[in-house]
Amino acid sequence: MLKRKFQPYKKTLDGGWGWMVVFHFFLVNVFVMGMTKTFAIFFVVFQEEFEGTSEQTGWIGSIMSSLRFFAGPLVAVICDITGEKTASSLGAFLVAGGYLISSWATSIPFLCVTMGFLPGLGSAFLYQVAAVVTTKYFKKRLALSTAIARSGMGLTFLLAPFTKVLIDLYDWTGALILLGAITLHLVPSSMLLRPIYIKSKSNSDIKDESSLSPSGPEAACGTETSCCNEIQELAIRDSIMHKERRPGLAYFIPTFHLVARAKTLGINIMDASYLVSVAGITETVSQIISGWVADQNWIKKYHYHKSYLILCGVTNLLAPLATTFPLLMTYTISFAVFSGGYLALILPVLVDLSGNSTVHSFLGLASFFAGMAVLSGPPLAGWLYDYTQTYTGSYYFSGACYLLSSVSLFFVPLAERWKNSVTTKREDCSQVRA
Amino acid sequence: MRTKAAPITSLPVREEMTTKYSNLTLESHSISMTAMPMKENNKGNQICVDRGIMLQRNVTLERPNMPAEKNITLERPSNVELTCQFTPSGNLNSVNVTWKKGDKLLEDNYLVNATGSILYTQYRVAVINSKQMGSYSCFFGEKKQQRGTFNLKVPEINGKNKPLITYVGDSVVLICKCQDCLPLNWTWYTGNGSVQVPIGVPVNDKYVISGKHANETKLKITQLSEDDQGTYWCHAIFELGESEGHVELVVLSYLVPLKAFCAIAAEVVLLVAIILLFEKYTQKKKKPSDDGKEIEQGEQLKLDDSNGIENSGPRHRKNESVGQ
Repeated sequence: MLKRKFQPYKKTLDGGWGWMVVFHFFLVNVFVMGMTKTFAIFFVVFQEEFEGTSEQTGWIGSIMSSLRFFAGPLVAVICDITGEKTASSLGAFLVAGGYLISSWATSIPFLCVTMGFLPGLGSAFLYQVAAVVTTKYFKKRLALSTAIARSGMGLTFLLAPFTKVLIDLYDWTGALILLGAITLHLVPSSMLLRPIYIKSKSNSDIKDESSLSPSGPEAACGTETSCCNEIQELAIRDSIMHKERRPGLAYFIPTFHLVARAKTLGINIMDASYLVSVAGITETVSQIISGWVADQNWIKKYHYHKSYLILCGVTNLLAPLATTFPLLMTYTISFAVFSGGYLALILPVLVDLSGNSTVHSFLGLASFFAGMAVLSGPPLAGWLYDYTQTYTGSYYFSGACYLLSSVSLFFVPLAERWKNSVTTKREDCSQVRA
Repeated sequence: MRTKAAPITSLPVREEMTTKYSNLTLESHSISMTAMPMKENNKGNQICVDRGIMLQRNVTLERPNMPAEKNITLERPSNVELTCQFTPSGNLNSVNVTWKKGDKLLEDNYLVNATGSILYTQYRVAVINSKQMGSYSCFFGEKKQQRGTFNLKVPEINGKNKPLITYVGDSVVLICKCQDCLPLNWTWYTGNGSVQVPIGVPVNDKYVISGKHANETKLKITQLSEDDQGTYWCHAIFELGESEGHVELVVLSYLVPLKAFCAIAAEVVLLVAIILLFEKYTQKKKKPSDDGKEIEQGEQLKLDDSNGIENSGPRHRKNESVGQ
C-alpha cells in the first residue's frame, strides 16, 4: 500500500527527524493529559450551570478518559486506511471541534457527546498514532524518547490555573472556545509525523510499515499449523494485554486515594497537595532515568518492567503502614519512582514483544484493556472504600494487581521458546514444500 | 434606678419589660476583662462564665485596655442579656460601671454584682425592632477605662465576590443566599453609583424574582444587553432591620472571545502553511536523486525486526514471521 514516495531508510533513525516526532508526542501528552486535569475545573462549572448531580456530570469525564483507551482498535483500523498524519490531524480536529461545539451546550447529555465522546475519540487518535510513529523512529533509544515525551504530563500543572484565568475572563463558553483553538495547534504538529519506510528483508512486495498486515502468518503447512500459530499468537498477546490491564487498574487507585487518605490521617490540604506535586515531579524524573537505563540494554527491558511492577506492588502492600506525614511522603516518593519506571517502559516492552508492523494492533488491543481498567478502577476503589471504610483495602488491592501483572511477564521466556519452536517447525514445513 | 459598685446581690429589674416580652427567646452573651499591670506580652484568654442558655465565647486580650468586642447576630425579636465580667487590679468598690448604647448613656435595665474579686454587670434589653439594634458597651472605670462592646446585627447576606461574566443575548440568574436565616422578604435593586433603583416594580418579562427556599433569592435576567452591566443589590428584610448583599454583572459581546479565537486560528493556519512550504521545498531538493534510489528497493537490507525476541530465534522468511 504505497501512497507516497518518500526516501526509504535503511535502518531506524534513533534521532534526527525522530526528535520532532518526540516533540509532537510531548505536545500530545500535554494536551491530552491536560484535558483530563482541566476537566476537574469544568466539572464544578458544569454542575453549577446545568444543576446536574455529581454522578451525571462525572460521566462526561469518564467517557472522555475511557474512550481514549477504548477507541484503540478503531484507531488502528483508520490509520491503516488513511495513514498516520491524516489520522492524527483528524484526532486534533475532533478534540478542537468537540470543545468548540461544547461551548453551545445546553444540557449535560449534550456535553457527554461533545465534551466526552468527541475529545475522547480524538485523543485516542492523537495518542496512539504518536506512540506508534515514535516506535518507528526509535529503536535503541525508544525508552528514553518515550520517557521524554511523557514528561509532558508534568507540564499539565500549568494548564489548570490557565484554564481558571480563562474562565474568569470569558466564562466557560469563551474558555471552551479558546481551549479548542489552542488544541488546534496539534494539527501543524501532526504534520511533523513524516511517514518513514524502513526496508525489511526478503520481501518481493514492499509493504508499507503502517499497514496492518494480517496477523496470522500465511498458511504454509496446512490449516492445522496455521490454526496452531494463531492460537499461540493469541496466547502471547493475551499475556501482554493482561499485563497492560492490571497495572492500569492498579495505577489509578493509589493516585486517586492519596489525598483522601492524607485527609483521613489528619494531614491538612496544603500538605496533601504538596504530596501530589512531589509525586508528579518524581514520576517525571524517574520516567526519564528509567528510559535511559532501559535503553542501555544491559538486560532485556521486560526484566526492568517486571522488577518495577514487583516493587510497585510491594510498596503498595506496605502503604497502610504509612500513618504520618513523613512516612506518607516516603511512600509517595517510592511509589512515584517505581511507577515512573514502569510507565516509561510500557511502550518499549510492548514493541519488544510484538515486533514492528503489528504495533498498531497490539497497542490498540492493549489500550482497549487499559480502557476497561480506567473505567472500572475508580468506581471499584470507591466501592472498596465504602465497604471497608478505610483506604487500606484499596492499597492492598492495587498492590496485589501489580504483583499479578508482573507474574504474566514471567511467562515471556516460555512464550518465546514456544514461538520459536513453532516457527522452526514452519520453516521446516516450507522447506519441505519448496 | 442606678447603682454603683456595691456588694449588693440583686436589684429589682423592671418587671413589666420581662412579662410583656416573656414569650421571646432569651440570648445571653458575655465578655470578660481583666485589668492587668502593663505587660508587653499579655494574652489573657479567659473563659466566660455564662449563666444564660446560649452561646459562650472566648475573648482574647492582646494588651490591657484593648477594647473587647463581640458580634451578635439576631434575626428575630428576642430578649438579650449582655454580661460583662471584670477583674480589677485594685479595690472592687472603687470601680465605676456604666453602660452605653452607641454614645448614649443608659440609665437603667442593668445590674451590678460582685463575687470574690470579680465584678459582674448585666444589661437586659428586649430587642423587638431595628431601634434596639446597634452597639452596646459596658465601661469599667478604673485607672484606665476598660470597655467591652456587643454589636447587635442582622445576619449577613452572601452575594458573589467575583463578577459574573455573561454574553449579550444570554440570560443569567443572580443568587443571594443567607446562611442560617429566614428573611421575611427579599428585594432587588440595581446600583448606579450610590443610587439604588428597585427592580421588578413594574413586573415585566425581563426580570423574574424567585426563590425555592426562604433563605435564598434568585433574580433571572433575560435578553442581556451591555446596559445591564453593573452591580445588583439584594436586600433581605428582617423584623429587626435590613441586610444587603451584592453581585456584579459583566456583559461581554461575542466578539471578544471570537477575536481571540480568530487570532489563534490564524496562527495555526500560518504554522500549517509554513510546514507545507517547508516540506515542498525539501521534496523539490530530493526529487532529482529519487530515481536512483528506486532501484535499491528490492535489495536485502538490515532486518528491522531485530528486537529482543526475534534475535534469539533462527532467521526465517519475513512474510511468515509473527512479527510482520
